[in-house]
Amino acid sequence: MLPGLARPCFGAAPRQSLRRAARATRLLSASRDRHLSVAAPADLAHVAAAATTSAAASSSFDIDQLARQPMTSLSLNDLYRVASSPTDEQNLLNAQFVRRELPIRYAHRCAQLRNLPFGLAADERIEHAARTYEQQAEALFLHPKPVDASSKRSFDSLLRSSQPKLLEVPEHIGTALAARLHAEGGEADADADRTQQRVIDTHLDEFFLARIGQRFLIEHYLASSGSSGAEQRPGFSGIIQSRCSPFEVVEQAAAETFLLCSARLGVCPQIEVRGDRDASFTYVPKHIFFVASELLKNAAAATVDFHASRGGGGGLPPVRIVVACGENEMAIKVADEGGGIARSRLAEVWSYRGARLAGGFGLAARSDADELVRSPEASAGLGLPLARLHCKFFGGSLHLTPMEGYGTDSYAKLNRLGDDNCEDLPQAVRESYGMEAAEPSAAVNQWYARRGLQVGDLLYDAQARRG
Amino acid sequence: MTRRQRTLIQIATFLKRELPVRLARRVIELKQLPEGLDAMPSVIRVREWYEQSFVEIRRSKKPVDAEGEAEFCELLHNIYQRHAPTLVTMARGVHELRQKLRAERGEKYDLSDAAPIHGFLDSFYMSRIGIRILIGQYLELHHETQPEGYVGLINRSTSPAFIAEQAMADATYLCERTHGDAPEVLIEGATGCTFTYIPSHLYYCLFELLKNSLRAVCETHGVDGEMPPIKVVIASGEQNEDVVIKVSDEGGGIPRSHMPRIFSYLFTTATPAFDSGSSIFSSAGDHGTDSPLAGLGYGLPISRTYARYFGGDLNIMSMEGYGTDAFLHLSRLGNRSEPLP
Repeated sequence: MLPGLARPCFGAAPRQSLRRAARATRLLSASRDRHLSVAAPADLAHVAAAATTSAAASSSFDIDQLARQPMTSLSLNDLYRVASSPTDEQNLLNAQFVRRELPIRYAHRCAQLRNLPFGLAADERIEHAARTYEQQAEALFLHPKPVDASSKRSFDSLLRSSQPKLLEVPEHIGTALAARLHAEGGEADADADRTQQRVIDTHLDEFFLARIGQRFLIEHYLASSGSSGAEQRPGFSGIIQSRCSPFEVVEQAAAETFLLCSARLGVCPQIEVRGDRDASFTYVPKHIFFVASELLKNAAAATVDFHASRGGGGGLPPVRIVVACGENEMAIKVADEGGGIARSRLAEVWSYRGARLAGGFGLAARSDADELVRSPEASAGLGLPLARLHCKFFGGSLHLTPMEGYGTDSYAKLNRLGDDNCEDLPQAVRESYGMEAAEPSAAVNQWYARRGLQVGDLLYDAQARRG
Repeated sequence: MTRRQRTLIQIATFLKRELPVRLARRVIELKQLPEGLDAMPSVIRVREWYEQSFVEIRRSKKPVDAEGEAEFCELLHNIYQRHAPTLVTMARGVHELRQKLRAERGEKYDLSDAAPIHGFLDSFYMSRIGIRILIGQYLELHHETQPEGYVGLINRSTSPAFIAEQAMADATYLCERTHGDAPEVLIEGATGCTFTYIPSHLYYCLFELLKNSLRAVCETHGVDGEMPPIKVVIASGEQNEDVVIKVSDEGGGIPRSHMPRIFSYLFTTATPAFDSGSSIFSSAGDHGTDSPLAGLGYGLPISRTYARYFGGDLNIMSMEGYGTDAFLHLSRLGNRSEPLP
């Protein structure tokens, strides 16, 4: 029996039933099972080797077959350890694992996109995104196994070059969602629309959550592999920083937002950051940066628009940020005076509705403000739900409290990831989405089951189209 | 007969029909409480009050004229007084249950884990607010002249800023008495806004929130140190659904482990005042500053119940190590019905 089998696993796990089956098989016959929760870095080679042998039997690329294979989860501990000053041998093992694992994950993403309900899967943009995943999976699958420095270099550069295309995926999804809403027009029954939206939200929550885990793996691997010749940044293991100062990260986000907003809208409110610069945690700075940027962009845009619509005289009220560090969590509060929204409309803000949430944050028609939001996620209209997923990933949360007619306060709470070696994960992190698969699959299945439908029934003619 | 008299008789007739229904439901609930709460002497006392009030209203003469109506009014006045100490008596009942369960299940037993009790108390207090609004409104309407803008308990031009100032004065006084000094309270935002509401509810909520904030700041920063001010922001616009009042402090925040419990009626570390042997039931009801309820941790859950009664809400967002923001949402549309079970 391998140690630590009952530990929570990092990265989105496959559907609940498959996972349970996998766990049962693990407990029964550890030796023959290749879908293990890796306990030590050396085992990565075992997994890669076993997988490659079985995959070699069917060395042709088959996306559907890949999608049927369960993903292998890694715990945060392992990720930290394998990326912390890795030896050349460890680097090779990591590369082999990634080459084996990513095609499976890409295949799952592709399948998830092709299973989106209510005609979304038939949308050409969704199909384009799905095909992107399929192509990436194929490219990685067919690349020879990295067994020395040069093959590993070529593998790494292949991986790096694929990232830009994958970054566009949220934009495609966002546009497809918006198109669907416009197509509905005004005839849609409000209740049916809400229910449909909730189902879509569930599917997309699951998709994006898994995507966060997948991107984490890729970026973490690339940052630790040192293949570009650059030394890994001190204090980092991959993209986890052992002494990350949220204050500094937020400051950077504030500076960048200020420049962006001033450039796009011509004016930007002052952004004041308060907090303890020296307080530090083990965390992933990229995540903090993303969440802070999204909140700040919305706050700045709302402030500019709200005050323009009220005559615009006098200066803009500042956006105030407080970074607070507690024993168990750190909190980032972004407070703006951008007019807020009505409490009854708050739920819409979290919904995946695609670009142009009309009337969001009290804005009647977002004109110039649209220019501001440049990140692929935000321009797809998905910035806030994605920011929330990033917070939830390690068991944190993101709350918005609007004060209609005044402004909005956003609270991002992030869990400390345990002490410097990620060894001691607090309970909230252990039980978070990033660690355990959330229940979306079960919820989605229930939704369908209650209506006597199968998951595939709402695909319309997507299958026929694919031929 | 004047129009006013006729209105009063109409209201009295409605109450004679409606109140027994509400009271009876409470009696039935009080007989079937989880964990044996219904057997506690204080809870039995509360139930007997409800039973007696029920009987008295049922047996009363139907108010068809001015005289009958005046008698009915007197009856309701007595009932109103009788039920004034309900909160503190129920709290006492919960305390008795806690003692009993501790004796049976060991000192470590934590009553706040008992979710059914909490759910019951929530809906019980919610219904109580409803009953007291009905009766209170009727009693107020009896006065010949209503104060400016008032219709019974309701003030059509309730000014949040004005009430905040009153609450601030009282809370500050209390804080100075306890700690020697108090931080400043700044009131900002839409200070000129007015809307239709019941001022005493708003006062209670703001008083509780300010009390908590003042105490937190004093304890975190010390009265000799520099105490950052507490900010009260009032948000309201012409077309708003809500009036939102934010009370924000830098009092160090609430530890994460306490967060699930701040709205609990059952969570307390204090020894209730009534345990010391005093059995004072203040006629000001449960909300006086010297009430035996002080220190029981009832302020937040009751405030939230008041806010939710007319479709609003109370949200507490805390940043551990920094401070707490409380958001009081009050629906201003006046079109939300009572949340009856």
